[in-house]
Amino acid sequence: MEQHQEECGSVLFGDELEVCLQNIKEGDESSREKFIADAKPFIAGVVGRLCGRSLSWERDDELSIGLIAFNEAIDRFKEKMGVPFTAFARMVIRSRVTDYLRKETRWNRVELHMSEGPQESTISQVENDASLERYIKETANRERIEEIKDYNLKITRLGITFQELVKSSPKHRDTRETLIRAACYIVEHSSLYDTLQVSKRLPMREVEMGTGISRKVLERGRKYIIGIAVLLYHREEYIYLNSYVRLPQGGAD
Amino acid sequence: MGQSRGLVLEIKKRSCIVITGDGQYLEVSKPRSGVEVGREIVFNRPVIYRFKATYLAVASIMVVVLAWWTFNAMLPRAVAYVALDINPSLELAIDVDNEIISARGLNDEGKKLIQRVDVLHEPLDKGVQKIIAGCVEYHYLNQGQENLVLATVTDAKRNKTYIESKENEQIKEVYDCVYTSINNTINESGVGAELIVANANLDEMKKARENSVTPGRYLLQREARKNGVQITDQELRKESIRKLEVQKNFQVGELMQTVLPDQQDSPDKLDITDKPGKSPDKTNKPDKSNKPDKPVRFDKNDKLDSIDKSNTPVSLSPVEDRATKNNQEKQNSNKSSKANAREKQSVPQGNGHFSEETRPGQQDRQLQNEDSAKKNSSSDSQIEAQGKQSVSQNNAYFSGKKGVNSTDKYSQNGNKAKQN
Repeated sequence: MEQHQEECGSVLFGDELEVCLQNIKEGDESSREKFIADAKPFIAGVVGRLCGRSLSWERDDELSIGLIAFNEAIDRFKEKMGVPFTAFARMVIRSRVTDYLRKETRWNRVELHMSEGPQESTISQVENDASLERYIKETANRERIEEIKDYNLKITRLGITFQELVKSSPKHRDTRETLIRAACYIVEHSSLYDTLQVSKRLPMREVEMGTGISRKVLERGRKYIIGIAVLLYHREEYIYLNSYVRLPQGGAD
Repeated sequence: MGQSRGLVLEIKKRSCIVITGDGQYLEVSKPRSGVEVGREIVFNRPVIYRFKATYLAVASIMVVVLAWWTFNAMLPRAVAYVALDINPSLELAIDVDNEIISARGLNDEGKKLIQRVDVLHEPLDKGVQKIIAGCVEYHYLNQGQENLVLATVTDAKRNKTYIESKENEQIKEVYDCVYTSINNTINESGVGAELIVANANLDEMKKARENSVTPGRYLLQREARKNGVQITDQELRKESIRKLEVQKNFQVGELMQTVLPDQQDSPDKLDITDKPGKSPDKTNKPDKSNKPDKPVRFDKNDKLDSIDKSNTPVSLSPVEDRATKNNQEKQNSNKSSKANAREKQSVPQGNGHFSEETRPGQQDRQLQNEDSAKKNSSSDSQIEAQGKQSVSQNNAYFSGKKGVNSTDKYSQNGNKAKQN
């Protein structure tokens, strides 16, 4: 199972995603099952963040709602939306779970007045294609900006600015790929990433040992490695950024 | 090359930072259509890694200023200009060390003369001597002719009337230097010439340059106009001053002289004239109401004295005093040589007062008197000091128009000689 979860990252954020979705659309139910199963940690992450508490699959309805919403997202996703699938799925999950939570509170308060009416209307509203598209676009824009802001905040905390990233960004593709490989190595070994967060310094020796990249190169691309590592580590959060930047996933292995 | 896309991460004043699909962070110039964070933009591949344009601009301006400054510092600065109108018209620029740093001809003859006579980097007095000698050699100044040398000194640093300061000293030095050296050379060469040293300020020099004439001629034209004599620009440029004199029927010395009375408080208009070859009836009568029939005559020392006074209205600094004393002594010696020169010339001697009895001793005595008078710097004491020996007209003149100098020291000398 653990192994499976590890893989999910690659499915949900990797290059195979489109192929996978295509298969599902064509009616490959088994791959749909597998895909949803892979996406479970992602769904749990999104719903958990929304609810502000950790959830368990056995206990909490929110996760089931999220799961259903994810399934819905697979069906409704279209390439032309201009939004990465993950982001779209997140949007759908969030809106469904929010709706559920709202209903819950209403249930709790005035159980008698529970009615399907408003929910129906919201659905029909969402169903309205034009407004849905607009909604998606607006949400995507907002989320993307938030993502970038958050990313900026995170790297600032590590003492890096975008300007510095520009300066240390390698011009040659080979160098870039080498550095990205180093960043991947750090992300894959979360202990290294934690050291980075705490010491705000690149765990040079470990990376050097693990990847075989010379210290000089690492030193030179230090900031770039950190910038990319942060981006990759928060794959689930920085959906837009990660879907935009097609980095070689798990290149180290 | 070509276009590529990037997601805008940060917006700066003139540029924005993007991340590209292949994981590069780049700084690109802002698209004209405007940009927001999170928007995907298309930009041209050869990314301009722009230097801070403002820094670059500031740096280049500084370089230019520095270059200009050093260039200026390297070049000698002219502190004064001496324009000579012999008939070749020349302009000499003088630096702080009284050296000629540039010389140019203001008319064709002047240019020719400058080519023949090399005065660049000579001390002023030597340069002027060379020029005069050159004029004599190339027959611009001829014996027996009514020659005129009009020199105009301009303070290049200040436009206004000069106050007592170093520059003032400098200009005075230039003044005296021009005067003595020209005088000497003229006398040595044995060619009689009238010397007028005038002072033009910077404005006048500029105007003169605009009209492509020497400041001297410009002043002449202006003064002539004041006296009702019209000289057109054309004539001013083409004709020699002497010719103009004859044509328009005026006297240069007179004109330049008459500047003084009504510009008492602007001493840079002060003129020195020396007319060895002039008959007394040609000298000016600055105060005609006081003395309608008698020409005013001054000794050269008187003249210098009055210059000093008007230059330094309050008191003379000891340095200056010394300087003028030296000058006077110099001029004294000049005078004797000049007297010799005059003997040969046999110029019409005005009212016949002139005689060769101008003895050095007498002059010395007079000098001392002058000095003491200067120290008191009042016309009254001067009158007292001179009372016994000098002419009564002097007194009247001084009380009337202080500092006005007149011409014809020779006849003055003659007067004194007669009285003695």
